[in-house]
This record gives sequence, structure tokens and C-alpha cells, in this order.
Amino acid sequence: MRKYPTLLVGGVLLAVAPLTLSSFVLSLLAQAAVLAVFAASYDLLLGYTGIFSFGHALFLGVGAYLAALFLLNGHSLPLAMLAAVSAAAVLAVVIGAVTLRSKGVYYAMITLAFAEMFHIYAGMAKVTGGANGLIGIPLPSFIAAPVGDYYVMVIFAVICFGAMYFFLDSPTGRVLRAVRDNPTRAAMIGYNVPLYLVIAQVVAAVFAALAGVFLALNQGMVYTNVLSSNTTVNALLIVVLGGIGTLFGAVAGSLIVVVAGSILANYFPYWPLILGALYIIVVLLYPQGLMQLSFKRLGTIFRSNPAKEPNVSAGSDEGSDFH
Amino acid sequence: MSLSMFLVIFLEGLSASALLFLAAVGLSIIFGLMDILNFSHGALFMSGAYVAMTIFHATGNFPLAVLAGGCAAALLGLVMERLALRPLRGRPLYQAMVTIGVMLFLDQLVIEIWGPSLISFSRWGPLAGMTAIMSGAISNYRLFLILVGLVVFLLMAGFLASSRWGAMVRAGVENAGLLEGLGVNTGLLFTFTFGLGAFLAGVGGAVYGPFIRLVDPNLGLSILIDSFIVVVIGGFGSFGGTVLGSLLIGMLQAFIGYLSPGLTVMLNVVLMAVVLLIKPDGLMSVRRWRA
Repeated sequence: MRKYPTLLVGGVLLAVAPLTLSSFVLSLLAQAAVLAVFAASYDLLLGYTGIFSFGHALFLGVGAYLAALFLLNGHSLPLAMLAAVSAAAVLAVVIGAVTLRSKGVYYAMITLAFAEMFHIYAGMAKVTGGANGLIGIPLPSFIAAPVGDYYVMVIFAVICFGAMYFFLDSPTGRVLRAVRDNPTRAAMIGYNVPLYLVIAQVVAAVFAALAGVFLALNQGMVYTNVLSSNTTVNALLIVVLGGIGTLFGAVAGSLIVVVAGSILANYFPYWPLILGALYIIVVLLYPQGLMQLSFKRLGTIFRSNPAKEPNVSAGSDEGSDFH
Repeated sequence: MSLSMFLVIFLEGLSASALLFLAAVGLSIIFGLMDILNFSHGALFMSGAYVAMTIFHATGNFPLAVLAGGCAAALLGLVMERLALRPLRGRPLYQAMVTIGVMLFLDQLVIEIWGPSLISFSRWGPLAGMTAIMSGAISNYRLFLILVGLVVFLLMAGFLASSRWGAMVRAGVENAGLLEGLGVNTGLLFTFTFGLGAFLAGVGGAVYGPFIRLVDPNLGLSILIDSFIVVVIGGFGSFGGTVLGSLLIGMLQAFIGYLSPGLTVMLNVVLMAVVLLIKPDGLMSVRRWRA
């Protein structure tokens, strides 16, 4: 129950933000909102199912490119979203079927190879505009202005986060966590583990594709970079900084990477280098994200076997199928 | 296809295989022994290429440049193993995530030091020409790559098969816990192996630079993907599998690339998918015992 006041305050703050903030900050916030959804969909895999993907950009890219193509050809936005979602779901099933029998570590590499194949294809094919990408996407009028863009992206993010929250809270979502913590036990109880792994991949792919559609709307163009592994690394950065397996941590992580990043980059010439180092430190010392800052842990780096965190979601020895 | 054409393409494939082998062998052994999926392997490869380029342009001594490239990568690898990977021992997912951070950091460091644009890396005089093969010709540099690949293959095979440390590596791949129980200092073995893998990656980068005649900051990622495909096909941790995977991919690139250049990327991925559907652990999977 005590969640509601916080939600209300947050909602009001988001709603009145355009009154006080410059349009530059608003556009950053809009971008952060979209990336937060993408990162959260990555967290569905990494934090809640224990799947380590390195090709999640594929689904963002498919969503963005399909949205751009549909809008450029005069189709409506809902149709574009439908196309993006169905294409991502089909791809996720195919990749899931190929990787079903492969152990965790193989999954990361296979997804990377698939995503990179699409990345290279998008850079060469005529339909995707080659290396130039697709530009001049006709935008609905309410998105063209910075304030409208901000509201659309924030509302989109709120709806997606709500949907993901309820999905994770549903019986299916709980089974996913059981599979993450101990796949053998989940199978023994009678759950069809491979089926649930595919479900997680499809749901994550669908949300990533939706984020892709709105990224295309937010940017007004799509460029091959959206499919590159840097995009996946960005999602990983956001999730790790915000806290693995904490759905809403993606919001904090996204604010750090996008908003703080583009402001701090003006003051620190080596910002990308600092971000890389910060990421390493967070993985080493604060596996539950920057929200769990505590200086006691700083000492653990010099001990060879730090005590395990009780609630670390992914990566516990018996939990991950990483061997 | 005439016989001389076939021979030239075959040798080209062999040289590509040699490069892939140099890039992938460290990745495979490190994973086999330590369970670490090293995403920074491509960045180590690239660091070797950049350091070698700098030394070669400063001194004109290519063998020295290759050695320096290997040593620079080995040093980076050793520091990384001690500072970032050892504290996370036994937690492979977090180790893999840390190596992604190191990859980001090294990629960015290369850009800060050498700038974001391409830098040319010319070939050493004695290796610059061409050698005639019947009616065709192949560049001396490709023959040199085949030689380097062969020498590293023989040294590594000899090391793994008949040295004390090689035997410990082989035992550790099967069961590191039991090895430690027998009184072997596995921490030291891990550090040594990681350094060795990084050294080979650095050497690979150093000889790769003059092959494509340039170095650029995106080099690490493309090599990483190729190495991944090689070890997935060959089987992680299997030395023979890495050799087989490199030969398969190298030859495929050469022969398919000759027939239809655009197809090779797709074919690598398709080949990988087919292998995984038939043998999910790769063609020559290692029997591993884990407590």
C-alpha cells in the first residue's frame, strides 16, 4: 500500500517536468525513457531468468527498422508496432530453438553472432538504406515537438514497466525465477524448463522491439548502429549500474548513462573511459547496483574470495547453467 | 577452377585459418580451464596490434614489434586476471560481465591514445613480395602467417602434451577442483594460463595488422566474433577443436569468398547454427567433470 504515495509523487513530477526543464534535458529524458525500457527487457533475461544474451540489440534494431519502413511506406503506427512485435517474437522463437540445447555461455556467443549478421546485413542491403540508414521518418504531429516527444516516451515507458512488473509478478514470471535459481529443481517439480526459457526470450524480445519502435519515433531516423553490439553493451551497462534483477533499476541506470553521461561528458573529456572503469568497479563490488552503495565493500577487492551476496540474482553457482 | 587457382585459394584459406587459430586458441583454453568467457579477448588482440604498429614504425624491427605486441597484451591480461577476475572466481557470469567492462575500457583507451581513425601498418620488407605458385601467385605475408600459425600450433601442442604445466592445464580443464585438491596451486596456474592466452592474442593482433595493412579501433570486435564462432564450432576448451574450427572457417571463407564474397558472414553463422543443432557442445567437446 505504501507504494502508492511514491508512485503518485513520481507521476506528478514526471508530468510537470516539462514546465521547468529545457528542451535539451527533455529530449535526453525522452531518450532515457526508451533506453530504460530496452534495458529492462534485457534485465528480464539477465536478472530474472539467468540468460546471458549478447545480441539483444537485434530485437531493438528489428523494431526500429520495421517501424521506420512501415511509417515511410505510409502505414499507420499501430500496424508498424504489430509488425515489429510479431517479427521480434518469431525471431526469438527461432533463436531460442537453435540455442535450446546449448549451455549459457554458448547462448551469449550465438546471440552475438546472429545480431552481428543482421548488423552487417543492414549495412549492405538496399531495403535498410545501407550504411546511411533510414532518415526522414514521417512522425505523427504530437511527437514532433520536444514536449510531446517527452510525454509520449514517458507514457510508453510507464506502460511498459507496468506490463513487465505484472508479467514478472505473474505465475509465469515466478517460474522464470525458479528456473534461474535452480533449473534442475524446476524441471524436477514438473515445469517444462526449455519452454519457459523460450517464453522469457519472446517476452524480452517483444519489449525490446517496442522500445525499438519508439526509439525510431524519438530519433526520427534509424541507423545501423542500433543493431551493433555497442547497443547491447549499453543495455548491460544500464542494467548493471542500476542493479541486476531489479526491474526499476534500469530507470536509474538509464538516467546515469544517458542524462548524466551527456552532461558529464562536457566536463570530463575521458567520460567513456570513466564509465568503463565505473562499470568494472560496480560488477566487482556492488553487484546489486549503485543503489546499494556501501563503502564497506570497497575492501573486498583485495580478498581472494569475497563472501557471496545472499540475494544476487544471476550467477550463483548452482543457479546459472553456465558450465 | 584450375589446379593453380585451387592451390592459391587453399593457401589463402590456410593463412586465414592460422590467424583465426591465433585469435581463438587463448579464448578456448581460458574458458576450458577457468570457465571465463573472455569478451576482452578481441580488445587484447587489438592492443597487441596497436603496440606492434607503434614499435614497428619507431624501430622498423618487425620481430621485435610482434614480441612487444604479445608482451603488452600479456601484461594487460595478467593485471586484469589479478585485479578483476580473481576476486570473482567461481562466479562465471560476473566474470564474463567484468571482461565486457575491460573490453569497453581497452577499446576506449586505444581511441584516447591512438585516435579514432585508421592507421596504416605496412608490411616488413622481407615479407612484402609475392611468391609464384605455378601460374598463380600468393603474397609472402600469407605464407608467413601460415608459418607463424604452424609454429604456434606445434609449440602449444608440445606444451600441452608433454610439459608439466601443460599436463596441469589439461587436468584443470577436466576438473580444476580436483587438481587443487591434489596440491596444485590453481591460482598461479590460472594467472599463467590467462597470461599465455593474452600473449597469443597479442601476437595474433601484431601479425594481423600488416595483413590488412592497417589498425582501427573496431578491430577487436570483429575478431572477437570470428573467434567465438571458431570455438563454438570446435568445442570450448578443446585444443584440437580450435584447430578444426579455424581450419573449417578459414577454408570456408577462402572458397566461398572466392565464389561469392557477400555470403561468408551469413555462412559462418549458419554453419555455427547447424553444428549446434547436431552437436550442442561443438564438434570436439571436452568431457568435463564439475563438482
